[in-house]
Amino acid sequence: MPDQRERADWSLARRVLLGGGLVVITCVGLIGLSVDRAFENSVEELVQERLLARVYMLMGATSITDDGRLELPAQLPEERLATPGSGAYAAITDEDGTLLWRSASSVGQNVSYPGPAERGLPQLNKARDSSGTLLQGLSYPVYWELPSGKDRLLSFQVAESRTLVESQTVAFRRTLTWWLAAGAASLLVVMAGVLLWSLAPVRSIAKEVRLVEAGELDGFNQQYPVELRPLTDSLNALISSREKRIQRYRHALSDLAHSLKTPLAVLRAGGNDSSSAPPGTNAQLQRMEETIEYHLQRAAITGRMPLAAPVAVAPAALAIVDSLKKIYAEKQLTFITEIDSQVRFPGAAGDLSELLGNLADNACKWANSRVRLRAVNDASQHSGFRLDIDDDGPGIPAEMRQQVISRGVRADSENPGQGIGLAVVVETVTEMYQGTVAIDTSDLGGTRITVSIPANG
Amino acid sequence: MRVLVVEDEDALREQLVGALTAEGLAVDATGSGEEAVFMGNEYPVDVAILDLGLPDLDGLKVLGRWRAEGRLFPVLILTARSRWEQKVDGLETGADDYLTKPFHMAEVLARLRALVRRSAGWASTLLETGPLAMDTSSQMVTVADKEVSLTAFEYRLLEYLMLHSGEVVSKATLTEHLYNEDHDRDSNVLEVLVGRLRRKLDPDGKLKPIETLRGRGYRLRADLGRAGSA
Repeated sequence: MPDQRERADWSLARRVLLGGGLVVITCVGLIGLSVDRAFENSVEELVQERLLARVYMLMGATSITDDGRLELPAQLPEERLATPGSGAYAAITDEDGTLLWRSASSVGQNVSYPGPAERGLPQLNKARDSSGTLLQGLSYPVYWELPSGKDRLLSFQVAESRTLVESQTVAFRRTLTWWLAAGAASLLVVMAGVLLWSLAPVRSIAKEVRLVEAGELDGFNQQYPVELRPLTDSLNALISSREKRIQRYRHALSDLAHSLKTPLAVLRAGGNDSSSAPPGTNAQLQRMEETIEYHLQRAAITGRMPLAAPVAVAPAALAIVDSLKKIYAEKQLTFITEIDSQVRFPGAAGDLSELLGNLADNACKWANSRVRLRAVNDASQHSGFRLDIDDDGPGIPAEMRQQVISRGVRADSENPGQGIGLAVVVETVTEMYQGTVAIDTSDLGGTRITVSIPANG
Repeated sequence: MRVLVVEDEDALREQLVGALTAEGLAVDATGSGEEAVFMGNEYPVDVAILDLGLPDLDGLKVLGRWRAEGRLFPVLILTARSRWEQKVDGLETGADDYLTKPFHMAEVLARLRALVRRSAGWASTLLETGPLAMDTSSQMVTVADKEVSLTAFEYRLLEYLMLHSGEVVSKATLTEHLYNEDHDRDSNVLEVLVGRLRRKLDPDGKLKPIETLRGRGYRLRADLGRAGSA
């Protein structure tokens, strides 16, 4: 279900904006609908009242002569009934539906009124003009007392064109839509503002994480909302306890190394002249030494630490080169260091020293006169780290290279002395940093060992 | 050559002292950091072997105190700690070489010799003055390519003079650097030994490599090449 997975990493802002937007649009829609209904109802009522008023007006204006003829003044109080095409119509019919009178506005319009229904009650109905357009009609059948004393059924019919009502409704709807849209838009803007404001601490944490990772901050500052403070507090505690733990761990290792190796040194130094030792003692001592050395070196590797600042490579390389110059003073080697001050190692400082130290030491062992250290942050791998250590020694034949890399991974390697440093390097890079180690021919003529480490493992 | 051995593990210290003494070196030894600071500052030390894991005072502090006092003799650090950060720390504090425990005694000796030679300004293991040559790694001495057989003490004596060739070395200095503290410091013995070394190096008396400066001491001539070929 790729959709679900995609949705799972939607940002908080996206979630809140989408959810809030949905709420706003639903609310605005419902408001629009109900306002529209209310408006329509009131318009209908208005029309009905107007029609009823017209009927009453007609009734007031109507008189019946003694011979039973209907008489209405030529000038009715409602101007529109006298104006053809005004959309206001009126007529009076008798019991059979025979037209007795119609308003002047009906000239040229053959308005058809539906037949009267129950007597004595005004009733809404649908009338049609000659073109068939629907009109809002009202019929009010009444018994009219003739001067003769007889009653006569007169049906007062009025009708009103819907054009006006409809145009009013359209105008109202347009206004309503505009205002609702404006309201929804400003609500969304306000919501986005509120969102920005309330997510600001989260963004600030993200920013501080980047700063901590870049080494520009030692921890998170304390000004976070109460919901986030447990998180930042424990992160701060983690950061500060981590260094202490590593220190304690290193001291323990150091003590262990001291207490194991000093007796070994005594045995080793004494073993030369003691003929009482059983045969094979030296080989066993050698094996013990190598096992201890290998495991101590392995244990000393910290690995990648979350929230740790990347380490500047150039100063560490300089320190290692200075040390190697002293250790290999006899060989009078030339060290070429091509490391920009911007280059960073994505891991622990101690691990960087182990990598540089072991590889450069190895290069010094084999080099005739030159050793080169080169490190870059590979932009193509999102600032991954690459280290090349070259020497101008005899080099390693292609068919041996794989063996050299995998050798010494077993502590009881057949090749004493050699390979423990390299084995620890290979293990550090591949297991703790998810990187690779490769052996190549150097342009200096000897071996090139390349370490590649991705930025985020 | 006078070596100061600072190692708190008694058995190892005794082994080191034994091996160095057997090589004919003058050795002072201690297992305490405070004492090491004193000895380094006060004794005529040519080279020191310093264990970093001392109980009372950290080896690096001892080294720092020596250097702060202007004592510049080469120092070989011995330690169980093999992390590069620790090696770098030691070498940056002023140590000159580094050996991780456990070690081969032969390697300690070779490193010591190299340190002393280097601190005297010689880059190679071959010390040469005219026809006189000394290979400090094989400990072979030749005059005009012919090997000369020397006793361990004669070798130390010649080595010291060669490392300081052209300089006047007093009898007192020679005694300090070549004999152990408890040795009977009879200057006549030294004269006898120098005389024997002269005869071995220059049986027919043409080369005259070692000069005697009356009342001041001895000097190995730095201009032997010119004198020898003349």
